[in-house]
Amino acid sequence: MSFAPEIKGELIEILGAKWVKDDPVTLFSYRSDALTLHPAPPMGVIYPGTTDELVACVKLFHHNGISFVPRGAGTGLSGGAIPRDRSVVVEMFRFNTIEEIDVANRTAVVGPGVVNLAVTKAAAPHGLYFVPDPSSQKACTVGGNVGENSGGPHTLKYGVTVNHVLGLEMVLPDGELVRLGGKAWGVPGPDLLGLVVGSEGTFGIVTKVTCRLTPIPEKALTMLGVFESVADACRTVSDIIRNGIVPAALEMIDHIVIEAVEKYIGAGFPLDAEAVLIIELEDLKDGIEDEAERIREICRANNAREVRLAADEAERAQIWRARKEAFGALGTISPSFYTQDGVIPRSKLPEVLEEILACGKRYGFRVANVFHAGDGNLHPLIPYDSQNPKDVENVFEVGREILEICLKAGGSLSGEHGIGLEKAHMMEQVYNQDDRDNMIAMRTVFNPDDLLNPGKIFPNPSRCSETKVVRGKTGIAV
Amino acid sequence: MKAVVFQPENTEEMRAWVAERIAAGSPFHISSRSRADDDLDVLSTSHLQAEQFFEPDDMVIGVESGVPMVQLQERLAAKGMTLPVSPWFADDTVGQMVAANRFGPERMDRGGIRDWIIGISYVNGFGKLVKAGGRVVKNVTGYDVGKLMVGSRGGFGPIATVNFKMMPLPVNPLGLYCGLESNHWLKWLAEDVLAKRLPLDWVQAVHRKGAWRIGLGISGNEARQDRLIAELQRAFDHQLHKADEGREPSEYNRFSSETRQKGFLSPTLPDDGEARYHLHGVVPTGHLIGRPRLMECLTGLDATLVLHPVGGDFHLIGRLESLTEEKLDRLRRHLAGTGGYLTLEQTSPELLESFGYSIPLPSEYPLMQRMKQTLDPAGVFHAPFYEMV
Repeated sequence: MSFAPEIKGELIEILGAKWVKDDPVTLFSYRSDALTLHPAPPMGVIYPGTTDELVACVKLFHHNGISFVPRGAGTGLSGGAIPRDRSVVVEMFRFNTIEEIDVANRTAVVGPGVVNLAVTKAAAPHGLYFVPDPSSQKACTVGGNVGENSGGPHTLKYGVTVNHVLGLEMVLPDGELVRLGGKAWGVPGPDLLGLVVGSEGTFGIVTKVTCRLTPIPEKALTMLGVFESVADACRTVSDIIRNGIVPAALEMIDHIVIEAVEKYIGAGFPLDAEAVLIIELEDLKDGIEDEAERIREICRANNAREVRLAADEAERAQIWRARKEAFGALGTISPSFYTQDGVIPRSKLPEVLEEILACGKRYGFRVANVFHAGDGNLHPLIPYDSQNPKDVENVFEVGREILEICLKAGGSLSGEHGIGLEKAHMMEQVYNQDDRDNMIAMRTVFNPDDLLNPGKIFPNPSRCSETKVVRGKTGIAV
Repeated sequence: MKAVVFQPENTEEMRAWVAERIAAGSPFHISSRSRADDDLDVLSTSHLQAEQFFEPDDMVIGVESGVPMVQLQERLAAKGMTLPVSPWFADDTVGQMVAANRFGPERMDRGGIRDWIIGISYVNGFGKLVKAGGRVVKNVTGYDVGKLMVGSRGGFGPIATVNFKMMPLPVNPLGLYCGLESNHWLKWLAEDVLAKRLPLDWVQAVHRKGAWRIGLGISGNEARQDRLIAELQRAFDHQLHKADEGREPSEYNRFSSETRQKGFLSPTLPDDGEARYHLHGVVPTGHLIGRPRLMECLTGLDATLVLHPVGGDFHLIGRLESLTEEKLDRLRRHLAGTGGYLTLEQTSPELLESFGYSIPLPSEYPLMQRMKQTLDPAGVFHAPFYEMV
């Protein structure tokens, strides 16, 4: 199904023919984001270039009862930008201008289509940067970060996207343009901005973001602790924090990922290690070495066989490249893998990791782990064969069971990837009907007709059976 | 008829009472205090003081909303932890801090109370006890309802419990202080401290009767402190003296973390029993310290000014009779174009009538009103903030 001729005609009038597409190749390309397990082709794709154009298109959709879905770079891992119900995809890449870097107020005003890393690059000459740094930061956009409340390795000390966004401009599903926040750190009244960040594109389409910039630390020290047991590495994480040290990042990579990373980029991680811990300290250069020494002692007390300190910026960059490209590196082991995202209390890391490995084993999978250990934010990676129908079926089950393990441990369904389409059916395990109704009531203030990104976050009762059928399909390319 | 004050002993009692009020369509105040100030009934959360959980190893705690902030900090400190958010006054409770979005001088680097909430429960406008978030430090499961409740001023229902993430206590905290008369130090702060990106734990300045008392908080090991002290002394023309967090007798003790945790505004309150006003401003940092005329206006009022220049907020506290429409109007003119706001926390009914609670109204105010109408359909949660034009 493509655009109805009259709708297409009006869209072309607003945007020009170049920016309205519903050919088969486009529809196929936009059938999913980075979660490729639940593909659904859109009615069509539009590429607005200005706020006025976007408002006009949204009013047209609203008037005709057509659902629509905003999309950034399509790097989301929970299916938040998948166009269920033949929704129109609103591709925001043309909103890619950095309008202002305000050094005195430490803010940047950017379009939602600006790539995350580009903000930091623009701010860096002023000694500032944009803190959220998801692994996909070379590709993902600020608008997507706002939608998903993205995190990254450095959230332990600095927080997630919501802590670094001061203002938003957005278009509501009826075409109303609203502004939330600004350059001040807060406004009188309820924190609507905080509610909107992380609402996964179900409240409005963001057209402008005021980012809070942070001073680049004077010195960063990156250490690599090498461990012969995952449990020892986990205990080290807890001990570092128990000693009153809050590193900028505390990331763990297990043996399977070490193997993959070494094949992929040759970062120099020891292949016979069971786990490595990346520990990053950021502060003034004075005194930071003493802190590093304390960490070294804690690692040793937990049986680290080696603790390396990156000697220079090149070595530091190599360690971080290995971490940030770990997902990609898994491709050397298996062309298909399923990435999960769950959170647990940090102190329960050792036993939960064991449970997850055992869960994978029951289904014949070797689950790999690379995760934000300081936050207890797990990213189990499940390599599988996308051509094997049984494998596809089982990988869903393992993913679901892993999340149930996280919930049983007192954790949550997602730390940074969002609920999207992928986990909507599990929301009832976290929140009762009253809790969900309360959240849905909030959505109705912005999106009363559920035209914007329908079927995300909360299961739509009328589509439950349909979802199960899709999830049961086999042989979906990943 | 005399107003009723209801003080539930637990959250279920609170829910049942609120549900009855919703069914009857009877509005009431939500307060942490146990008295009624006018003829409207009061729901007081003062007896909700249970600890839900405390896991120092996971850096998380959950408490009922009536727990005084001072008590919460004491519990955390006993385990080497802190919530880097100071209450305004000694009797501030957790629920009050959240509902009124209170934060202190630590916000500059670590954020306000909004940045530490990981879970919340409250009784909503349908009489249900609802929850959002959880007990882990990172969580994007569903909407961040905890954020919506920050600054909600009781408009969406009484808060039952709040879960926080926390931080280890700062290592070797130290205060550096000085007294100055002119506003020049703000230029020093901008050019020699902020531009050099020196990591301070907190900054607070108090202006009273023509003079500033300035405090800068630092922490860390010896090498780190030595460097910071040297840089700050250079920036402040070697006028700073250090105090070991208020342990020596000093007029600067009011800046110490001990005092801050008991309400950093409490020492500024007049003890003569006179009616006072309290204005709270938030202004982008660069505009707050970079606009001399705004600062002249703030320091020119016959009031105590408590300033947090980094992060951008200030409090003005003075005798109520000294605040006139003309003075407020002048302040409004100076704030115009800064992107800042002034909240009339405490003032006369006449000034409230003329200016409303917020100068100017936030651009999202209509959305806030819509949210209030949707989430409180019976209109029982009395919150004048939502009743401005």
